[in-house]
Amino acid sequence: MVVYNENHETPFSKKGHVIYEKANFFIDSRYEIQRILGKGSYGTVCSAIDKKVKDSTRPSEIAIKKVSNIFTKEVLLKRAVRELRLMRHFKGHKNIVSLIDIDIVYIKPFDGLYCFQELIEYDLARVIQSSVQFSEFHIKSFLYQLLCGLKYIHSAEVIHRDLKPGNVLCTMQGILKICDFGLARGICPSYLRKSTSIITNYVATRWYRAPELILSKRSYSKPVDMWAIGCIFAELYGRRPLFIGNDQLNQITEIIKVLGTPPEEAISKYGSRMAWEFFSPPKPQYQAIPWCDIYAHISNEAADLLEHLICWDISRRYSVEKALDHSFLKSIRDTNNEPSCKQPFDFSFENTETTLPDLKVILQKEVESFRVERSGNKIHS
Amino acid sequence: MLTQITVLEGENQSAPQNCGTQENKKNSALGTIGAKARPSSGHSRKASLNNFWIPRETNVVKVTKPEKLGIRKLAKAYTRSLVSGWSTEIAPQGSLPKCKSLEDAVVNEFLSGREVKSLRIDDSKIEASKAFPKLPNIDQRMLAEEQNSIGSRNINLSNRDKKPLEDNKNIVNISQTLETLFPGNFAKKAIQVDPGREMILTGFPKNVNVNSILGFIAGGVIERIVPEIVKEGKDIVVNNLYLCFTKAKDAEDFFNFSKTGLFVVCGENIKVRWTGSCKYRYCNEIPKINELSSSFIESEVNIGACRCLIIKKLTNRCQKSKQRSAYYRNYGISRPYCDDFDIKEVEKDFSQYGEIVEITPAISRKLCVSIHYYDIRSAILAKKEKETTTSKLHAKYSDWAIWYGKDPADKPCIAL
Repeated sequence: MVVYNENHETPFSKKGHVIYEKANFFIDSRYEIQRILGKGSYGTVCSAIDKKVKDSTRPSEIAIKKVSNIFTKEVLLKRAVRELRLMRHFKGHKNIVSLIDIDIVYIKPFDGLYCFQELIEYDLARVIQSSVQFSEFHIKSFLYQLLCGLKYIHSAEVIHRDLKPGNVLCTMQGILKICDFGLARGICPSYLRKSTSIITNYVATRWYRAPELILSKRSYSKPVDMWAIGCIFAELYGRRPLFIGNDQLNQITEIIKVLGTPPEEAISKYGSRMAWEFFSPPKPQYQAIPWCDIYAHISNEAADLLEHLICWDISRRYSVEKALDHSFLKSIRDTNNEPSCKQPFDFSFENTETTLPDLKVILQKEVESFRVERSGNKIHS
Repeated sequence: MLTQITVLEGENQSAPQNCGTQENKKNSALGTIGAKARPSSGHSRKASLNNFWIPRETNVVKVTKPEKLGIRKLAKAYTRSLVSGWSTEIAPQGSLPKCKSLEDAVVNEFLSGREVKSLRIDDSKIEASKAFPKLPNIDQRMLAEEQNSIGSRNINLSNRDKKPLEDNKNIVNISQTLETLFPGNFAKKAIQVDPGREMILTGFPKNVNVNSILGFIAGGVIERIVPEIVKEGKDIVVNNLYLCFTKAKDAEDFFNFSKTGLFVVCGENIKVRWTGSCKYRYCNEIPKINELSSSFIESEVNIGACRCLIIKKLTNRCQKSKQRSAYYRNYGISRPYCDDFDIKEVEKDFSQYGEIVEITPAISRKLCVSIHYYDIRSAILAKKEKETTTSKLHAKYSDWAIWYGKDPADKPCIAL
């Protein structure tokens, strides 16, 4: 067993760190917390100013996300390690939020992983709900950027699993950045343990959850992200979420109301009795509503693309490459600006390192190597 | 169609020599050559002066009394150093200080004249130069520049900052007088030299275009970006990217930032080096741009001009009542949406003032887009044209407001 040395930190043993009580933050004194941006089950996000950047006219604003409770629950620690690794793996894509710095604190109640990220004005949820004026160009550009970011993620054999407008940041000039890789995971078969390949189905925020996650016990893959992209795409037209379900089953009902009852072959592909029971008579049978009846402004091309993103049948659902290839995006597409990741994401640590102390060691190592890399030195591993 | 520009790798290498005397003079005058590593011919008098200074600063501190150093003193000290025999590798016998040409003679005159004050050796500068390792030969120094970024320069840039887009006044004056004395290339070269604002970025991964790269650049307002693109089969690769900031200080900030591990594009560390000379490069020359007076450009930059223009439609024509879908109530909320907006039209209209990097949808209550040019002059020209009441652009976009946005690069570099 690896014994982890905690160094017996006290709040004052970490040099130059200060406490921000409102959010239980314990951070380097170079950062001055401005305000709390959000709180969730994962932790807290604050905005801060980096006082080390001496520029009176343009203060360097950043966002600090503290992932808490990671040292008590294995699953949360595993996710934190995963998230950190993924953020490092995806460094430097314009549609993925970039990590500036990282810190790790063991002292309670400040304990957790502190991720320092670029601060971006809005998130897509706020933009959609506000009275910002859209045009087809806005929607096209947003969808295109989302797909570019997702292409990069999928090319590393990673699924995000929690795409939703709230997890897409948006600058004033309309540049989108995907963030929050807390639920993302690698699916590259070469890193999967041979016997067990079960991954949890309880992912994604309900309204953006693909039907196979609810109905099927089988393993899922990249199409779950494409479903979520479709939901966001539709939301850009409707300016409100498309399927607002109150619970898992109600979510399916909401989907049926729009897509209609799925054909039998699609049901059989889910491979679960639950699916049969849910769709077959005497349950009410629904007819699909054409997209142009739902959204007034939608063009035929957009409706066609939407139809191939939000569909029951996983094999019919477009992959990210196919979606990028769709005629709807032709006018703004730049095929020379759709990079892929060089190598798949290596998540083999998940097979070997499973205990809390093991994972702590990994996290500490990750933080250290990130800091070396950040200073511009090459790591010789 | 992407214009293919031949990559003149040789040109880049030799640029520091070709760029004329001004830069060399300036550097030697400021005594920061220790921080430079330049390919040197060893033939020119200027280069030999440079080389001569490196060992002196790093090793011999004795001669650093604050005194006026004329060219003769330099020469004397130089011959002395040759006798002691340790700098022969850098400056072979052939490059003994002799005035080989008229040009050199002028340089000497110049050095012993007005700029001689700045030749005084400052203790702090020596301290700074000590930080750089002593390197025995040029090749190793070049290598070191790649690895340790010794190429960062410590030029005092305070004068330039005040007047972006303009060369040092003093030097322009001098080159004018030189031109009257010796008409020819020499003086013109001197005007073009502006070593502190332009750099060249190399080492981009495949399928990464200019707008992807631009998102990661910080420091300040960019004056222009010029990509050199090559085709590799189906793929298009940005080979080099010339990047020029409006302010030398910003350029330096970014240069230092680029050496940290924070400047990464799609997992690749991008190499950045100074171009040395600042030859005016432009993708597609728009004749109208040259008609803009430099004083006008300068004044526009001072009031916040940048490559990014924002246009916003003032009238809000929203077809709320007319267009409603059958299931409108269930699946839609009324929010402003513009049906009759053609981005291609905007692109066409605005690209006549210069090539556009990209157009992005701006977040605003009214229809609003942001146009990013390659060159700040294009934005200045387009805005000027839009504001000229007789222009076609003004007539077509009469119900649109136009202003300079914020250059995405206009943010401070992240500190380590």
